[in-house]
Amino acid sequence: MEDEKLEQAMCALKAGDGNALGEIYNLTSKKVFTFVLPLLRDYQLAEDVMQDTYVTCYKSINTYKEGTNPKNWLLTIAKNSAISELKKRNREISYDFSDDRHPDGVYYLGDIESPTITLANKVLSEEEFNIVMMYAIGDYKHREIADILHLPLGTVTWKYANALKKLKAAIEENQTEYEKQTKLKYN
Amino acid sequence: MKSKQSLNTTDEELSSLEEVTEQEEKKILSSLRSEAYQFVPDKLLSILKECGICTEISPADEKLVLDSFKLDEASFQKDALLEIKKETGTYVPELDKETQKTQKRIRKEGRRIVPDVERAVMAESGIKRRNRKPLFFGIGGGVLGLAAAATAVVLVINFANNASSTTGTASYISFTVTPASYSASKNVASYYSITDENSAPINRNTPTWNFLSDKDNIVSKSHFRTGNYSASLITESITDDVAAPSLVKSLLKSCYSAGYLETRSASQYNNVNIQVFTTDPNYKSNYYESYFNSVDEALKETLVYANFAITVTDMSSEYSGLSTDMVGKINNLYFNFDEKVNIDTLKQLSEPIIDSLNELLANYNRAKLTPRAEHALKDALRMSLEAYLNKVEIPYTEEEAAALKESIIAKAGSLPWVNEGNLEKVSASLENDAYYMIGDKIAGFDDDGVFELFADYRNYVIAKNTVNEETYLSLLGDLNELAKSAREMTGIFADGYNNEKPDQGPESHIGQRGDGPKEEGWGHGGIHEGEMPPDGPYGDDSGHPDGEPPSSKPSDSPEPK
Repeated sequence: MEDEKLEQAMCALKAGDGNALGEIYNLTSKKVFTFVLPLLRDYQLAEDVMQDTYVTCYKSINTYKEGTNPKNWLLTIAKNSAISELKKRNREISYDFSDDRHPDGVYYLGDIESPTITLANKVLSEEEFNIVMMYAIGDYKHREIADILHLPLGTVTWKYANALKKLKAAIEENQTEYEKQTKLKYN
Repeated sequence: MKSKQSLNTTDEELSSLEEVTEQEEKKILSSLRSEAYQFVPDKLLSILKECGICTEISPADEKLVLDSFKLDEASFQKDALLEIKKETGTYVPELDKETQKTQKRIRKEGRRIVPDVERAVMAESGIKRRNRKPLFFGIGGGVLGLAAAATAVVLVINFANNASSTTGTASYISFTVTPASYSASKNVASYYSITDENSAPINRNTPTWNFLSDKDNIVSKSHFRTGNYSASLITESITDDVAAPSLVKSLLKSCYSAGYLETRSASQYNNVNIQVFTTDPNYKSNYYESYFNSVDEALKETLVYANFAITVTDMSSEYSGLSTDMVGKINNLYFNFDEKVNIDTLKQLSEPIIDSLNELLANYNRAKLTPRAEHALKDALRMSLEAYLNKVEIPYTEEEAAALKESIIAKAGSLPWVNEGNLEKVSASLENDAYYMIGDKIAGFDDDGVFELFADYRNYVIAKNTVNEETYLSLLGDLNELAKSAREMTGIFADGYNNEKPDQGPESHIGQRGDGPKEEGWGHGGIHEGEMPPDGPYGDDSGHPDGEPPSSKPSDSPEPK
């Protein structure tokens, strides 16, 4: 259903309905963001690249061929935007998540108030964090995550399972603080 | 917030952590999803501005929007009627459940119709998985395809039991009956289609027998085998040696009695197929007419119409040097693998493997499985054969495979053939590696992509157990043990849609459409059309262009569609 909606929004945008860009964004932003984040390994940079992706989408909508896969088209733009951003900074896409850890956790997330995500950022390794975010928020399947992160499927499911164990343990360990923050957030 | 969890958690520390239950997983995922709006930055306004898209609203539009909010206000209030119904006891929650069930079904069916777009995204975006390796290579093709391959590869056949070589005298016969309703349904729906509940059920059961005949076309009782569960419900063995055409006649009459030959509509014909692989170059001219007459007589005696086809393939060169027994065994595998593994490939296998595969298939052919499950099992066996002959790489480490298996067991409820009634047994079966021997075509509704994981683990099981003859025989042995218990394990094996039943047996077919013609002017039964022998039993001047025997076609029966 979402694919159909996306296809319709793409066609509307191509036909000149600028408002369709909002619909495209709403349908795909989580997927795009969790897709570019592991490529860039920088939260703020991922924000910029996500914005570039949709601007490029708008500007090059005439090259979109109706009936082709809109999500694929958008993710290709996102990947190209990420590569060109990294080139600008003389960096390369790397899937080695063993170093460069920010003191706050996997990423510097600024001042977001998300207790579970903050905790995940803190206790998980970068690879585990990306896998969990892609699965939970980006709604990717394990198989797709394996493709994107260039990992065997078994490794992805294994790391995902380990990540959940760690996260569960961390939530239990920080129960009082976690509940307080969750309540603050939702009240 | 404090945290003692180390990023470089050791395996020991990890194993000391408590397992996450399905409920806990859902809770964690739900928390993460609810925080997604914080994690994924909202850049929409900046994007719209950068693209120069107007984001301001005129006062007139603003009023219009606010008015529409007022109109929609009621939808935020409680449903008064529902509340009254609940209070007065007239509210029927089952209706809601039914609605949900219907919605779920529509959604599931939708998934089958809508192509898997997300998979295509990855495939087309140019992003490749680093460690992904193709597991299987095709070794299929028909007999002819194999015959061509045989010219390039010199096969050394060294079977121990070669003493009774019967080159030029062995014929392998596969005999299948397809009920008219299934034959007709094939024109409009595939094997995997869902039966339309509003129409009369289609009998998808196609009894098949395989037997070996000698130089005089006599079938000995030791060379008679059932090819599937339906056949085993009719006749599992024969008591005396008998001529092949007579055996066909007798089996055909049994098929009528058991309801596999249908007389529901004069315009829908049953199908009778015979395939012969023989080393006798004169088989066709010697025996075609007797087969034709046997089938025609059986059909006329039962007042049934059928299309009849017989194909005879000369296998003199392929069977050269093989014993009669081995011809039977190899052909049996060939037909059981739906002719997708060619005979020359099968000849490369050692005798213990050929024997083990034959025993296994014989046990499964007697097991109470749905046709789809039988098909899926044979599909997986074929894959294992390909892997054994091509030596594929094992895709996962033991640790990764164990994690994969664990996640499949945790989500067993989402497998397409699982329901509340069999969940516990299937979950237990999933511990057994042999249980994973199920082919890809079984996949039906797969909400959570669990069958994909299942198939990945199956590929691992196959790769791991086909590294040498010993491991392969061990896998086949485990599978055989499973087969022996299959008859009592109804519903445990994959059927793809969890609503299919194995063949319910003759009694369920009789009284529906196998008990005689229902239409007036039905006629006398017989072969509708078929391949005629050279110069045909009725000659070229019979005046019957499609080769029908004059007496077999009722003068007033409708023409077939």
